[in-house]
Amino acid sequence: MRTELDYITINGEQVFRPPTFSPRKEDIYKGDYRTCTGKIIADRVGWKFSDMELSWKALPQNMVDILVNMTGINTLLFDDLDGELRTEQIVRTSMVAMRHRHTQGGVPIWMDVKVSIQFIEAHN
Amino acid sequence: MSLIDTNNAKQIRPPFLISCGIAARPNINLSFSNITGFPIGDTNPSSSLDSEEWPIKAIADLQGDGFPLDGSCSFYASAAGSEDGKIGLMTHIGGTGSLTVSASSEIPALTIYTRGEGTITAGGVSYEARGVNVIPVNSTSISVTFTSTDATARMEVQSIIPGINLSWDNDSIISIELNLRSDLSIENSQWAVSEIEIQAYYADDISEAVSTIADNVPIWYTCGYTGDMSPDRRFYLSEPVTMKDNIITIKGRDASGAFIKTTNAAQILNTTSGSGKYDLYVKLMHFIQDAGITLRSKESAPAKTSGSVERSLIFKANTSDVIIQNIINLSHTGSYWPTFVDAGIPKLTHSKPTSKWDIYEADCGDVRQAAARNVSRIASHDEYGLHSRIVRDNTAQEIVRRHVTADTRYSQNAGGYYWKLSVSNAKDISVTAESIWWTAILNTTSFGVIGYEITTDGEIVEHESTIYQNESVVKGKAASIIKLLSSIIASPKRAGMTMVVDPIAYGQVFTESVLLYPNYNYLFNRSNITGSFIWKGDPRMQPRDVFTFHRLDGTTQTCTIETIRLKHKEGGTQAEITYRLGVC
Repeated sequence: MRTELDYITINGEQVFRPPTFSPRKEDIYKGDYRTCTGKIIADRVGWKFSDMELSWKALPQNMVDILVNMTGINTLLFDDLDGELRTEQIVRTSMVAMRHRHTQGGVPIWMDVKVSIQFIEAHN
Repeated sequence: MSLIDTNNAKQIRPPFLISCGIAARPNINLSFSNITGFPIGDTNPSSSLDSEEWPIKAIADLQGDGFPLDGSCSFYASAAGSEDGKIGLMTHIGGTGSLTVSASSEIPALTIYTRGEGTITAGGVSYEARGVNVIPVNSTSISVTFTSTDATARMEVQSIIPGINLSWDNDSIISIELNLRSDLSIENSQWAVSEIEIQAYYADDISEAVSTIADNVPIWYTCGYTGDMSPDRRFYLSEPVTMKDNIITIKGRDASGAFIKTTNAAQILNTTSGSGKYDLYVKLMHFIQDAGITLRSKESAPAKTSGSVERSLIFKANTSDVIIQNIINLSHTGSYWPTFVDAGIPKLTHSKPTSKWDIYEADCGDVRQAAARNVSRIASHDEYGLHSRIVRDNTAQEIVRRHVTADTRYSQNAGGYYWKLSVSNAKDISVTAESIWWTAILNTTSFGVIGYEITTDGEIVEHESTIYQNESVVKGKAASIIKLLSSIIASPKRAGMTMVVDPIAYGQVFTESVLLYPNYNYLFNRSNITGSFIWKGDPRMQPRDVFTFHRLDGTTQTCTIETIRLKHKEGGTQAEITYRLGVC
């Protein structure tokens, strides 16, 4: 039986969670400069999830369509492995790359699907 | 230790909270009519709605999640609506209310303060209620409808005021740049105006409304951490507000921008050797205040002493920026250090500043230092030289007699410099070095008299003449100028350049036997070493603040901040600081 951990949800529609899907949190530093001793001085203004590439060995046509139809600001719902279900706003930063297509039991399957995303929200 | 100091000591600092805004309310009052659909509200909405500074009272209401029983909510009282507190107007739960707003003359926009989810519809356009909305009007009257979009709650209309009253915080500020300036140059220093530029996001297109905001509308700014915010800085709109792609750009300058537009007639300053410090400081304060500046704080004038040697000084006709900068630049003697700094927080002091901040070179980037050529001689080509003295004539000469009408204002140019001008039959007298203004108290009247003269032939001759009563007689004690020195040289002698200056005043001000102003000798002691660096930035710092610069080699230098370019961008803060070595 599949659980939330097996899916991510893009714009309200479920897509298989990519096997390597592990969003990292990164600090956001602004007003930064390097001192004469080489030290970085900055304001930590918040954190965000790192930009990442989503990749699947195989994905059915209906899920590929969800990726292809992403425009503007999109919503991504996922379990962040800290046990927290997160909703983040993302933009797609690359076209959807698909190497080749198979048909399995009458269902079209795309192999080696990749798409890059950027998380646009910052958190304090 | 303050929160700002604590966080400034960190290599990675939490972001500052920033708050800024523009208060462009025209001098127009609003009235409200056709008020329907608001079952709860103040009894006097025409007073209460148009007063955004009145605090909002929370009332006990069963809408939404109800109300806390901690005393923070009061029962609805129809008498609400006073400076102690108001409730505004409230729709039915999930309901709609409307009203008509009228103004005595055309207004470009309304600023509406609301609470609760809902929409505001005016002029056929609907806006999502965001707490504060600016609604374009361009008319003397407009109907406004408020609709609660939360089926379990009321929409509350707290204030409706004319014009644009917008504020922004970290969520909507894109960038702010403050250029806080002074000029500590040895040669030809000039008054430096400080400026602010704000770029902020606003969801609705109000480009037409913001373009109507008049010059000199106040802009405010503060920054820091909760519980430790910097003093409010006040700037005044200097360029038209623009809006493009939902980004509003606001540019302002500090109040001292008015100096350049304020022209002063030649002014006389009469002092004694015991009152020189006091008189010069008070005169400086008057020049500042006469330009329309309200001082946020000022140091009490220095005490007078018993010295009784009288002297006069004449400021030539000039604009306030020239006079004020000249006094600040040339009257630093001992601990007497008249200083005026605006940069949004106008402050006047006369005590020599001490180090206020510690800045460590190890925390600075792009540290630079430069040395200019030393000044070895200061000279003037003015006909009365670099230093001059005013010689007072103690005999009052009659300058003119004027026939006057009571309660009428008169002026008289005396045709030269006078250290004392007076006028009879006058009130509300104001005097400059060359002119006098007054209001006559009584009408001048005249009557004829007949006199008789016996000639050498023994004949009696009759003379008829007119005698005037209650004339205004202007008298003056002349001031003449004597050249003392054309130039001075540094002592001990040193190599360097000759600086040529154009004195803006004749005469001198002393304290006891020490020259206070114009003290050109002080410029020989001002350091020729300047520098700059990038630093994390502190919103409390002002130009002319003195700081201790802890250098990498373990030594310290006492320096004076000349300019601060404080930049808030993308949530981070950074400052570019220029300084001059020593206390300037």
